[in-house]
Formats: sequence, structure tokens, C-alpha cells
Amino acid sequence: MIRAPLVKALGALGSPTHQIASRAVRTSAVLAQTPAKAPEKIEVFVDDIPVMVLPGTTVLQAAAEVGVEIPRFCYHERLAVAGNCRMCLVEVEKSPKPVAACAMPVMKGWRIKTNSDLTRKAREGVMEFLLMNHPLDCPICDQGGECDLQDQAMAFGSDRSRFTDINYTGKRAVEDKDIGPLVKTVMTRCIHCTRCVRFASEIAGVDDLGTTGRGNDMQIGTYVEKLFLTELSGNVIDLCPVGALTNKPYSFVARPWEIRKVDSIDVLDAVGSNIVVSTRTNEVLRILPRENEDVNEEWLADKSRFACDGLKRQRLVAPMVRMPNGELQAVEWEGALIAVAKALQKAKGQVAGIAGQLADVEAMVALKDLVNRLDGELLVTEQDFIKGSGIEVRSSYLLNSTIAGLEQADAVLLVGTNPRYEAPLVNTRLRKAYVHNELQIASIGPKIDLSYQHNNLGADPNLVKDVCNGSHAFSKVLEGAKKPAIIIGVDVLERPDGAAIHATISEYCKKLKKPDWNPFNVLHNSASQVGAFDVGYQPGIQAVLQAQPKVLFLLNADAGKVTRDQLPKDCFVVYIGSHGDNGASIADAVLPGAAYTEKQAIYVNTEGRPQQTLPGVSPPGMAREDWKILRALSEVVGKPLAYDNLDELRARLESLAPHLTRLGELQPASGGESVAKPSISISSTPIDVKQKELRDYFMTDAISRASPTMAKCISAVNKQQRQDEARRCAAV
Amino acid sequence: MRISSAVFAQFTAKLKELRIILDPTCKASKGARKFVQQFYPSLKKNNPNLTILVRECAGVKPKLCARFEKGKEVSIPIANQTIPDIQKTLEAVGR
Repeated sequence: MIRAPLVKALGALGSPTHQIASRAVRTSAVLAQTPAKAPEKIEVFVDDIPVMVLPGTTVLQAAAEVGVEIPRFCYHERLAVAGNCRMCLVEVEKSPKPVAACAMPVMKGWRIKTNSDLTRKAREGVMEFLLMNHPLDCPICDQGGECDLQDQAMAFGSDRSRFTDINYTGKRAVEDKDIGPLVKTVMTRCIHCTRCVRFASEIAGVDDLGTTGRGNDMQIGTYVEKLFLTELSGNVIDLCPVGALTNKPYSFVARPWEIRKVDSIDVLDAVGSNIVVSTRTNEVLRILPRENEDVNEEWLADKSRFACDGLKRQRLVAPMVRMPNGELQAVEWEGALIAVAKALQKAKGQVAGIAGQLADVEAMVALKDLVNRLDGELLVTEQDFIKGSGIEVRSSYLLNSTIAGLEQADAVLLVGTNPRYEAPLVNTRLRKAYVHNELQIASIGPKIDLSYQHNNLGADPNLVKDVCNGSHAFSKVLEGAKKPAIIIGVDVLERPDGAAIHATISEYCKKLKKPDWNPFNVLHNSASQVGAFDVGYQPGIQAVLQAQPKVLFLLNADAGKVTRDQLPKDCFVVYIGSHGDNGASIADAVLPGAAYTEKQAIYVNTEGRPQQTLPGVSPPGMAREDWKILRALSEVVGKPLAYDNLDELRARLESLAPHLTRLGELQPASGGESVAKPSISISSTPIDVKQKELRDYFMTDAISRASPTMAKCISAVNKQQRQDEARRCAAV
Repeated sequence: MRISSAVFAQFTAKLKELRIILDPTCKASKGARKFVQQFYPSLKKNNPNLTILVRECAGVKPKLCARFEKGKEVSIPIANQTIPDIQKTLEAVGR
């Protein structure tokens, strides 16, 4: 079965490069089975520096090994080799013509000259041809300042132009395409590197982009007018070496040299993608991915990239207290804190707290300490999970195989999860394993499009039982696999029989367990969840609703699961958070907090990796960092918390769960202590997932709900669907 | 030596949360690891409403933390201790 996209599959049959490369891979695979000897390394010389490389290495890779960077446009480490820009031509001694370094495997004893006259001449020639049909609109191009073509024209191009256009025929021009609200196209600038085409078909698994025509008439596009809307579409902007594909919401906003860049972490899903926040004049302008091989490689999901305009809308900028007439009125901090403190003193320990999707670990610890000091015990997360001992051992709520580890998996069962929308960058790993590692995937749940082929076993939860007692056909696959993995969607565990499903699967995973490989995985979809469990929050709001507290803290709890009529009439609701969303609308006191781009805070991702965000801008208006609000409140109530600054708070985190302050590191969770089986058995309600289609993906939290770009995405998807339907009707 | 699980009958209601912090590999945490493996199920069975958090991290000194009413906490180091030692400590804490 050919799983790799057509370009690559054809390449493997056609070009000599791929033949050799694939043979090298195949021989190494054979050798891996018989661990006798590694393939012999061969010696080549790059600019007279000797280097030993494996057979099948390309000239470009060999040069990279000695630190010589060869200019390129079409070549990209994570994409298949195309070899069509010709920028990487280099001279090889005794070869009559310069060779394309990105596609040519090295031979023994080759002397590669990356800076000879011939090489330089070749580059100048390629550059001249590219620029002949590239507009000179750099002053109005958004890529200006971070453009590969600009940089390489300066470094490797000719110092004068022979292009005079004596007949005033003008340059080649191409009509712009409308491929959606996220990616702006100026197709005249395109140099046909086909990185976007390869990204779409290989990584995103959406074969929407392609090339039409040839020679001077070649065009990149969708052929029929269609939106290029996937959950990963923004990555083609980063991949595009020129200004043909640019960020639409960011167009004409700023130049790269005016912005300040801050390394941070994304919190709009539970992957914890590493990001760079670009800011200017105290505004977040755009978000770019930051490379982290263990988490997001170099990709970023669209929500994480484009929802940043939601940080400027619907913000809470002043503390508010609900007046007797039912209106929220802005007050000073003093008044708001005193109002909350009075309510707390009246509550006499009947205090509870709910942490929502975007809550950071520091604020959750501060809230927990405060509530505990007031003799309250009810601290829960808005997202439900299994009750009882579910949160006590870390391995029972983590993605134990790790995100990078899933790449090596060879059999995966998805239970009630749609990783494509719940964690797009986990899905790219699964897709990568599917393409390169013969991964077999089955899912229990509704039929969904995961961007790769998988076997939908059905939605009946009793299938879980069948697979786990070994009677299902897929059990054989899992048991025969070297690295099997079962991924449970966190929404399944919200069901009344969630504990039974969790227990059945974790029991089965003990059987599948290999040394250094834990097949049990829970895929969370909110950034706060793992951190909350790590510090001892209990899952689910039911306990709070049963207890009927007198004071209820909502810490970024915006999912709308708590409503006013579920709470007692005299319950005083305090909302701490950044956006005016569901939480603030039911609150009696609103204390404005900071969003993730405005604070230094720890978030723990679904595999249990703590990472910290750094402040790029300051919180708007009177808003403050969440933990500081709670610290100030504790002072007013008369139960001051024992930390005055972030370092002291981090020390407190360390005493609660030491792994939390080992930033960026993954502490493997052993465990799997046998716990009494839950008394409930698996019911027969079909397993469902919340995010089935792209439309469901864009708005899932307070920030993305406030984002105009995300609203445009949803309307674009709806419009596309209406058009498709109309076309289908017309065809009938 | 056989230790019956009945020793851990019920902890006092004043005990709200128990945290066992240990290193997954080092020698000092060996007793703590074994203790968790052997006694966690029975502890949980007898005290179903008590939160017992087991938190692992490489390079930490094992300790036992207990949180009581009004946020009072005690932390007792259990490095290099054997199972009966830890059991005694825990009983003292839970009384």
C-alpha cells in the first residue's frame, strides 16, 4: 500500500536519488533486524573539509554536517525533496555540470565546492531567472525583512540587473486566489517551490493544493475555487520562502524589525506548543511557532496562531461588583476585594473553587491554598474526569507514550477522541507514523475524518470491552505490535461509565506494557487540566453543586457548565479571569486577570511536561496577574498566603509536586497501582466526540470565542459547505 | 514480615490530603516506592474520601506531606526509611 503522497511515491520510483535513499532505508531496516553491522560510512569533502556520512546522504545534508549552509528555496527538512528551485546547485569536482545539492546523494570521495566560481555563477543565474518573474514590490510586501528571496538575492545574487523589459511587456502576473480568511495570497510573488503543496499533502493530509500548467504558465492553487481550510493551514505561511502566502489578519500590520519577540507557550489546547509572541506598543500582533522537537516540531495549529486577536476583545479591564439592581459596576480594586472578603467571612468555610480551561498552575495553587485556609475543601476542575483515585497517580491521567513517542507507535486505538481537532499537533504525529511507520489505527466513536485512513470499529462502548478482553480482531493487532498505544479522549471519561472504561483500558494496557513504553494515554483538551490534577484539584463540578457553597470562585471557568440556577440564591460567585465570557456573566464580583501572553505562568501539557509562558505585554487596564489577586485577597480576609513573589510561589509549587518547576522536562510517570474496580459497568450509550468537523474546532475557549478571525473562519467553512451543497444539487 | 492492612483503619477526619513525593529510581526513595506499591490500594480502600497524591520527580528527597484543617501542613522526610518506618510515621500523622 502506498501511503506517502503521490509526489513522494513517484519520486521513489523515478528519481535516482530516491532509489538510492530508499534502498539505504531498506538496507538499514534489514540491518536493524539483524543487528550485525551498521552501514559503512563514506568519506566526502565539503570545501576540502573531510566528513564521514552514511550512504544515501544528500550533498546538502553532508554540507550541513560540517556547518556549511547551501542556499535553498524548495528544500525543507520535514518535507519530501522536490529539487525544483535549483538554488542549491553546487560544483562537484569532475562532474561536468553543477548538481542540485538537495536531491543528489553523495558518492565516495566526492569533492564538493560550495563557494567556487562555478557554484557562484550557477546561483547568480538561478537568482536572475527567479527575479525576472518576481515583482519588485518588496516595500509593500508583508514578507519584507523576513524573506528568503530578499536575503538570498542579497547574499548570492548578481550585483546588477540585466532585466530591462525593453518592450514594456511587463512581468509575468498571476491572479490571486481566495483560499480563506487566514492565508493571503499574492500569487505573482510565487517562485513555485511547492513547499505549500507538499505540506498540504504530506503533513496536513489535505490534497487541496497543487500545480497547474507548466513553464511560464505554472500556477499553484486549488484549481477550482476552494478554501484551503485545515486546522494547520497557517503553517504554509511560515513555509513560503517569499511573500506569496502571508498571514491575512496580520497583513500590513508591522515589520519584523519593529516587533519584540517573546518566547512563550500556547494554551488553547493541551499540547503546549512552543510559540513566539510578537508584540509592539503593548499589543500582541501575531504568534509564530517555536521549534521544539518533543512537542510541536515546528508547526502550530491555526487556533493557536490566529486566535490572538481575541486577546484584545471582550477583556475585563476593571474589577466589578454586582449592584442590587443586578448590574455589574466597575469599582476600584479595594472595593472589590473588600466585597469578596466580606462574603468569605460570612461563608464560614463553605467556600469552593472551580478552575477552568485557561487557569495557570500558580493561580490554581494560590486559590487552593486560600480556600484550604478558609477551611474549604472543594477545589475542582471544570472539565470532568473519573472520580476516586483517577488523579492520585500521574500515569492515570497523562499521555504516557509522549507526543514525540507516538511517532514510533505501530498500532493505535483511539477511544472517543478526535485528535485532529482536539490536538492537531498530536494528530500530525499520528499521521507521520501512519505514512512512515506503517501505523495501524482504529477508532471507537463516531465516523470522523482524521486526514489518514483508519478503521472505525463503531461507536458502541462495549467494543472497548471486546478489544480489552482480547476477543476483537484489533486486539491481535495491538498485542502483536512493538509499540501499541490506546488514546482515550477526555470527554469519554466525563460519561457516567467513564471510570469503567478507564479501568478496563488501563488494565489491558498493563498487559500491553513494554519496558520503556507505556501504552496508556489520555488526550486532554484543556491546557490547565494536567496542572490542576498535579496540584490536587478534583475533577468535575458535581461535588461543588451538591455542596451548595456560600462563596464560589470561578478561576477562568468559562465553559458555561455552572449556571446560576444550579447554585443557591445567596451564593456569592467570584470570577477571576481575563475575558467577559460565561463565567463573568454569572459572577457577583469580577476580578480581572491576565491572559497567557501577559503573565509568567506554568502550564502542564497533556504528556505532563511543565512549561512556562512569559509576559509579552502588560495586562490591560486594572487587570493583574491571577495569583497576585488571590494573594491580595488573602491579606484582606486576614489569612495571608505564605508567598509574596513568584519565586516563593514556585518554591511552594515544588513542595506540592516537584516536577512542576522542572520546566521543559518530562518526568516519566511510573505507577499503575492496582485500585479496586469501579462498581459501574460500561453502558451502551454510543461514544461521541464534541469536535467532529472543522467548524467545531475554531471556538473552544474564552479567547477564541472573542476572536474575530475565528468567527470569520467559521463563516468561511459554513459558506464553503453551502456552496458544495448547491453544486451537488445542481449536479443532480 | 507481614503487615496487615487493617492497621490503617481510618485516619482522623482532620486529615484532608496526603502527598507522597518520591524519586522513581533513586535508592533513598526505595522504601517509599515499595510502600506506595504495597499499601496504596488498602489505604485508599479504608479512606476512600482522602486524597492521596503520589508525585514523582527525578532527584528529589522523598517526603510525606499531610494537610489538615485550615490549610495546616506538615512535611516529614522519609529518605532511606523502610516500610515499617514509613508506616509508623503515617500513623502518627493520621492520628
